[in-house]
Amino acid sequence: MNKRIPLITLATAGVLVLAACASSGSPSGGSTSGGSGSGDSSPIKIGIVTPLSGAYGSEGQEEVRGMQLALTANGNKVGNHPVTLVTADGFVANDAIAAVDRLVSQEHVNIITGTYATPTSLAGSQEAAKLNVPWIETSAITDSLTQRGLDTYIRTGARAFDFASASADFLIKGLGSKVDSKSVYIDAENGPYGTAVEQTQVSKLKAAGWKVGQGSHASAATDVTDSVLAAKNAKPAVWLLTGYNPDLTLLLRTAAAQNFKPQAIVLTGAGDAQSVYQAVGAKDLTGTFVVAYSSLIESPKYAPGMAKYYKAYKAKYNSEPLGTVSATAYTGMTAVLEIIKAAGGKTDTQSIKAGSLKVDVPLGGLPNGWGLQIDQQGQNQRIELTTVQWRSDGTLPAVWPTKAVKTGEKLELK
Amino acid sequence: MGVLTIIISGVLVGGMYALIAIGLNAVFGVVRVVNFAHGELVVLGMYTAYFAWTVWSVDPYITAVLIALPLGFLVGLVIQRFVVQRLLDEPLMQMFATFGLLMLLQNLFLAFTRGEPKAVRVAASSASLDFFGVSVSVSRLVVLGAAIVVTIILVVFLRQTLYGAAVRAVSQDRGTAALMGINVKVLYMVAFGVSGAIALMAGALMSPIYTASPALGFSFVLPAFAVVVLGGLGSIGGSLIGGLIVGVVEALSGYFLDPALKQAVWFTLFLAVLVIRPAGLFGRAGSEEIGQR
Amino acid sequence: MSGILEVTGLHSGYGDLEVLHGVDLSVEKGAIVSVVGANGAGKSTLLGTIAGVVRPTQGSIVIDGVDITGIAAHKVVGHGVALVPEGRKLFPFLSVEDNLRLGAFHKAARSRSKATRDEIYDLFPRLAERRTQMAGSLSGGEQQMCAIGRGMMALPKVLMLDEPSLGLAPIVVEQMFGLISNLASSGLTILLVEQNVADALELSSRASVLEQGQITMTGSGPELLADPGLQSAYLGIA
Ligand SMILES: Nc1ncnc2c1ncn2[C@@H]1O[C@H](COP(=O)(O)OP(=O)(O)OP(=O)(O)O)[C@@H](O)[C@H]1O
Ligand SMILES: [Mg+2]
Repeated sequence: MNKRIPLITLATAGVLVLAACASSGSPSGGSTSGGSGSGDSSPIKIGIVTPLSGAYGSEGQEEVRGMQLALTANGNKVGNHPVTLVTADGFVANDAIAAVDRLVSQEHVNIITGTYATPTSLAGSQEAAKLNVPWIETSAITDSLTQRGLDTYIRTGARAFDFASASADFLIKGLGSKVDSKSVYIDAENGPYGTAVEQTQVSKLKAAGWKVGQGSHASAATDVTDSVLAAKNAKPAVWLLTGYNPDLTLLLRTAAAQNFKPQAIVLTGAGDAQSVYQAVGAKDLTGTFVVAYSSLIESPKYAPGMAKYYKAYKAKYNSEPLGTVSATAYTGMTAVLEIIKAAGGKTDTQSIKAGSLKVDVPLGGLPNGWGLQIDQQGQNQRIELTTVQWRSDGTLPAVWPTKAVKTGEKLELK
Repeated sequence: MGVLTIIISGVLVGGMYALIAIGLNAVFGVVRVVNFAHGELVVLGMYTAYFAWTVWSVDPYITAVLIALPLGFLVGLVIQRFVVQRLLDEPLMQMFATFGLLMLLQNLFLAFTRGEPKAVRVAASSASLDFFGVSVSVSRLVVLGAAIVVTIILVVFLRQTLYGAAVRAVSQDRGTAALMGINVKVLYMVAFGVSGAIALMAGALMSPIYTASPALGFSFVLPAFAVVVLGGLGSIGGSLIGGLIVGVVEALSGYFLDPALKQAVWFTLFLAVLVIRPAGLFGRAGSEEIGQR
Repeated sequence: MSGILEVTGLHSGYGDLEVLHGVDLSVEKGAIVSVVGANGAGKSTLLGTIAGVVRPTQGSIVIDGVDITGIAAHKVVGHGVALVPEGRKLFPFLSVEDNLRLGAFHKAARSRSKATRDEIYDLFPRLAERRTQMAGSLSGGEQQMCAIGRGMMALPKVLMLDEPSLGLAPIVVEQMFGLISNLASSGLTILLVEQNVADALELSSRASVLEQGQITMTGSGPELLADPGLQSAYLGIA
């Protein structure tokens, strides 16, 4: 008698485990809970994978904040479907894979987004593809992410390539007529990111007839006098730099110390942080251009949603946003919702892919002034990065493209 | 002019490597502990200077002497007393422990700063002197000066005083040193304290030059490790010269070869020295084999 | 009458391994007392325990009326016990002079350091000649002189010598034992551990035999020398 009860318990448990496995195997594939036809109001769950701890923890948290605010701004729903968010911490490949497994098998999310970090996006999206869950990236910038032929992968955000071409375009169309000679010295950090950016910049600028000098620096360099002297010896009108905040800071400081004063200095991808202003100082930083994500709070016509985002952020978190991560994530989540809408509220991989190809948001349609048109590779083609310029009071108004410039500001050399 | 500029910039960076290496050597050479968290102590010095500067408007150079030195001494003492002391006979565990400390400090920095870089800006940040037409950064010159002063103080202490002899004795044979009446535990704590004091002071002195960020320590501690081995374990003067050599070699190879290669060049040099003269340039042959007894 | 050093019922060892199982030893002031025994008998462990390097588990060590059982090694020397360890253990990369100076590191000896050093240089002119030389570069005999000199620098009430003849040429061994008896006649109390049983017993006023962590025989040097059991075990006389 005694022995039967545990047996029954075991059997029941076994059945339950099997059932759980079966249901977690393909939560959004085929006919399961997630999506169904219009008029349906089944809930949609979006997973966010991003580094929530470690070196990029604060950026990851900003990412989540921005996305949460965008969802709130949309009434927490898409069409009739109520939408909820679940977060998972992931930075290195293993974390990201574990995060995806958990989101899919335990949280039963329908779509995954994120990520701020390329390693997270790379490994996480591969795992999600295996589990047949669509992945909509908003903020990892490595070019190759949308060159993997991964059908379940879409990127609404910018690539390193977009930064490179935006900076080259800014030189060609914006600065070209203002500098004495069309000569540029390009120096990028020597990792894969900087190298890729530099290549694009070089070929675009050469094609436009610029005289191009080339150099590089290590992002962890303790001294960059060599790089600065090489640039100085080339006597360029424009010094075009790519890197991260600390190394760009060091380059600018060293240039000041070595009395290297080109007509224009343009930073790509970073250099817009307050720490840069503090470290370099108003005297040497004023007039420096930065091609970057921009929150564009002061350009309401160009970026219609950003003022609203900023107000909501301040109201909810009672602090200033950390850089532009949450602003970009805000736009990213808005784009994710657009794609779901275009997929008719269905969240299986085929519907999302088909929906993404249908989406057609013109430039200026997303909160930060971008549009949304996804190509076959899954990459958003309507991305326009702005150029801002450091002012002596530590502000960073947009100076390019012209339509993003607020009245009273204009592009001028130092 | 270009070459002179490069050599000078190399000497100045070498001064930083030297100052950090000297602190590392105080522990490495005496206690025979590899303190992986040494770079994080330097970063802690930078944050200390930043904090004192923003909150109390204290000049980083004043912080370096009045706050960073005593605070660093205390931090070093605590690390020795509560982490390393317990693992004295387990060198491998010591490495894991100091590595753990590295992670702990980095994550604390992250938690407190949200990863935002912190920069100090004072008059010295952009001040420079003219040296035969080459501009020499004052803030870097100060670090080089500090490295030289610290070297002189430590060398005189180690060579001329009874306590200095005691330190050298402990580094050679701590068991026998105890028989002489030397309190090895206290001496280890002091060595760690001095190392911590130099590290935090270095950080504070470097705060007008570099933007503090949690992972910055690594950029400095890697060359500093090479400098310690190059100059010789326990040889403070060797650390100073080794630091200058690494700085100049790095700068010249960056300028004449490729900035991407400069670490590779001094690393090759370092390996060559290691193979030809394992005791380092200024270490005594054989002394690298004297472990703890 | 109790000696200047009294060891009573001493047990000690390394971790779970007990090496000494209740050792009693008494050292008279001004005497040379030797402890002899085979390899691994526990002689060095006995001296190490007295010096505070090895922890005792039972028993007591009293020096000149002060109980020093179980106190830390660096404090023992201040109570008047100096150990010249087996194998000399000089600081090889320190000069002869610095090695000697460190012998007088503890407070009670430090103030007289210079005067003691000069006395030692008088005693060992060879060391005076080599005062700036690295201790590691001395010959074996010179190293032993330096080690003994370093021990004497502590102005000890009892100087413990662990196998001073180890590794020395026979002629140097002779000189070494001559020196030890001279030191004793000048009033220094010496506790000597030796494998060189015959020589040690000859100059000792008292001696003990240590076997597997226990004292098995005690007597005057000549008494033990004459003992047939000891002769067959340690002196190779059947
Ligand atoms: N540090 C140690 N850890 C563990 N065991 C030890 C240690 N030192 C000695 N022993 C052991 O204690 C025992 C006694 O050693 P000890 O060195 O006291 O002998 P000894 O009489 O001095 O011998 P010898 O004449 O060879 O010097 C030996 O069995 C030895 O293996
Ligand atoms: Mg022995």
